[in-house]
Amino acid sequence: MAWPWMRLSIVVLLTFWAWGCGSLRAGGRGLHEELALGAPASALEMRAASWPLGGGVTAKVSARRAEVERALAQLKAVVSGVRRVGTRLELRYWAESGALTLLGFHAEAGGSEWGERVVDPRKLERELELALSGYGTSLSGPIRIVLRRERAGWALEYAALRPEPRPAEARRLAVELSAVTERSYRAAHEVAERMLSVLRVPEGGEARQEVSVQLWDGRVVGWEQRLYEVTRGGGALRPVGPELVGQVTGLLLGFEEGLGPRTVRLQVRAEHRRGEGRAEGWVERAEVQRAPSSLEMDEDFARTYQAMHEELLRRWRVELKEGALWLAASGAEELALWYAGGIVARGAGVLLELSLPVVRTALARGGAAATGWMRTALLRLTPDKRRAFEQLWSKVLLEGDVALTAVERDTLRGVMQDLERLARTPLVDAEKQALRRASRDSYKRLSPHLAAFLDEKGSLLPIHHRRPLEYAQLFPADDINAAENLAMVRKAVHDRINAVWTRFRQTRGGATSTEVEQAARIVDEWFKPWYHRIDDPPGVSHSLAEAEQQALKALQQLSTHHP
Amino acid sequence: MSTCERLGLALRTEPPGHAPPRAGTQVSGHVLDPLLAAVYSRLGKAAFATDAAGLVLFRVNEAENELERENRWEPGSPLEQVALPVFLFGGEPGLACSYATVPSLADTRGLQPVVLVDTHEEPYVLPVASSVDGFFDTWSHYLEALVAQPDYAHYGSAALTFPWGVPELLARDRKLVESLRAGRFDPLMKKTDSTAHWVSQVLSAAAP
Repeated sequence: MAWPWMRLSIVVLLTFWAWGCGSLRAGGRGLHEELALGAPASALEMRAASWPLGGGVTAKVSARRAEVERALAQLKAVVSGVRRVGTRLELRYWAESGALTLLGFHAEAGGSEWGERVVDPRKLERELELALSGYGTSLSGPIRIVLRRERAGWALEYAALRPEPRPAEARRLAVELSAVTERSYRAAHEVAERMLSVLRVPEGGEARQEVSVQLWDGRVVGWEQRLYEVTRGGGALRPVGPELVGQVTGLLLGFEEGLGPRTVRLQVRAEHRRGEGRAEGWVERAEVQRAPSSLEMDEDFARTYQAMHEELLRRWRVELKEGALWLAASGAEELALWYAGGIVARGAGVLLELSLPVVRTALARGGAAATGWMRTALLRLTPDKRRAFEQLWSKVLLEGDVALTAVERDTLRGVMQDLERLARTPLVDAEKQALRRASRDSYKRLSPHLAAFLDEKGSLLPIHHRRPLEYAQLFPADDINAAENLAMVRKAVHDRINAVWTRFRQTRGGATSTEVEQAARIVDEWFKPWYHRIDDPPGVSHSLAEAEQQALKALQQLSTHHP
Repeated sequence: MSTCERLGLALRTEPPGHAPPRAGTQVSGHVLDPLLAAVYSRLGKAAFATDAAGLVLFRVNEAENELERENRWEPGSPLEQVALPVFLFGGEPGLACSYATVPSLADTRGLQPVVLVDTHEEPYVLPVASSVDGFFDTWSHYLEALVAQPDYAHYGSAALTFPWGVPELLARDRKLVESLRAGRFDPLMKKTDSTAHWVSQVLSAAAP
């Protein structure tokens, strides 16, 4: 069914400009300011006041308000120019902790009666704000906003929908950004223009178009024409008017609020009236289509990674500098998780055709294993390569691999090959010292009740690597600093264990991973009672000296069985 | 101490014992370095920057004498494999890395050089200063360099190792450089490529 929309004239644009100005809070600017007045002088000017790190309740309230402001601006773009009375627009959002993510849009045409050109927006705006604000704070789940065009304005209905699992793209963190950035707006507008340049309508006829737009986080990463059909008429083809570009831009910006990789299918229809220069168009339907998860991660790891990624994206959107500061302030553990998860989730393009069996195996394990491996592997890179790794992967994860220059891409691939190579290379003394320090710091975090003893006794309580660092290259996909591989022991115990490994080293030149594991089991068997203790263990029938002798004996038997 | 305070790093000291060991006296069969004796006349124990790299001196007071105990080696001690006798006085928390003076390499004033003794695997030794005073001076500069590392916030003390990662700081100790050039530490050091490379880095950094 054809559904002619009111063309968006300069008058209407100015109407919405007035609406925007009248309704937005001080300091905030709406999307329509950009639509009506052009791009602002600076994207930074459009951002809200800087977000305090670790912002408290006040910051959260302002972030929730910013969410509502952005949704309002997008809604204004969508309803702009709709005059046919009875027209019904339905928008579905996911609301959670103040964050609003657009899930879908559907439009039904009204009757033949035309409403007033200029309407007072204040009532609708108040109601919309009430609906979005209320649901945004009190509910976690899908909500529906229905707008019905009346002669003098808009009627609003809103409702929470039946609970459903959270869609993958739904955000959980409100973003304190009261308007989209200039760059985002320009990018969405350019995609809309290029997309709609295909939609030509015969003189006096009608045509429809379907387009798939690929999104990743807050960016359009591609689009493709799926269908173009002349549904009525023939003859000379006319382009669609700029108001449809504005509407599609508004919807794209709404969908860009989501997370992760997804596709938005847009169905557009346009009609031409004889005598007019351009056809009038409108979006009939826009829905998110979710590809099956491509993450080869365990569920907990994926969830943790997604949460961290969302938090970083939120900070990145609010203020680039703050995002960088937050990244800089994060600990090695958090960063390693973000990189490990991000490489699995988004590294395919960058790593294409690279042979990285160790890296892939280590990261595919997910969870603490992947995070720990990543953290330890990064320590083996030289500082300049480590910085290149961090900067370039951050760029990929926040802006997409298309943001990399050819040189940056080659650099990143080279660093990944370094990681692969290093994992198979024996550690040198300086690397061992760095890893031992990392293991000490990690042990203190994991065993806070023993941390004070470590600080008090200094080198008299060394951290023992059950599988020694000198054999790390035999287990390239394992984290040699994993918690289960570490045990604090007294120096006297360490010396005894060391004697066993010295014998192993002397008798098993070129040891295999199996032999190392067997020797580690022998050491565990005889010395485990002394692990994680500052005193002698009670109830142990053998002395330290006996433990050493028994372990050496077992090692000797091992050598006899496997010469 | 002042470096720890200035950088806001952990610092813990204890008062000296009533009868601290004197310079030149024998402790577990080793001649006590005069500068180390001066340290123990002022402190019974010290733990510097344990929230960063960490340097913990052995405790010496009426109740406990770690200096004596830790230098009384058990048979089979890894220190028996070190070519020259060393006298341990402290080390890094959580690591089998100790700092020691080398009595047999004392200069004409009796000042002993300081070495790092790593006993995680086969023991190895790296010279770090020409004297105890020089050691504290170099180590405090190392602390400054460590916390100034861009990676320090992420990787802590692993961001910059000591002495492997700071040959240029060791090169400031002219006397240490002279000893290295003269090969006085050669019997102590491992004959590995990484050791030779590190020594060459120190010597290059010291070159006029």
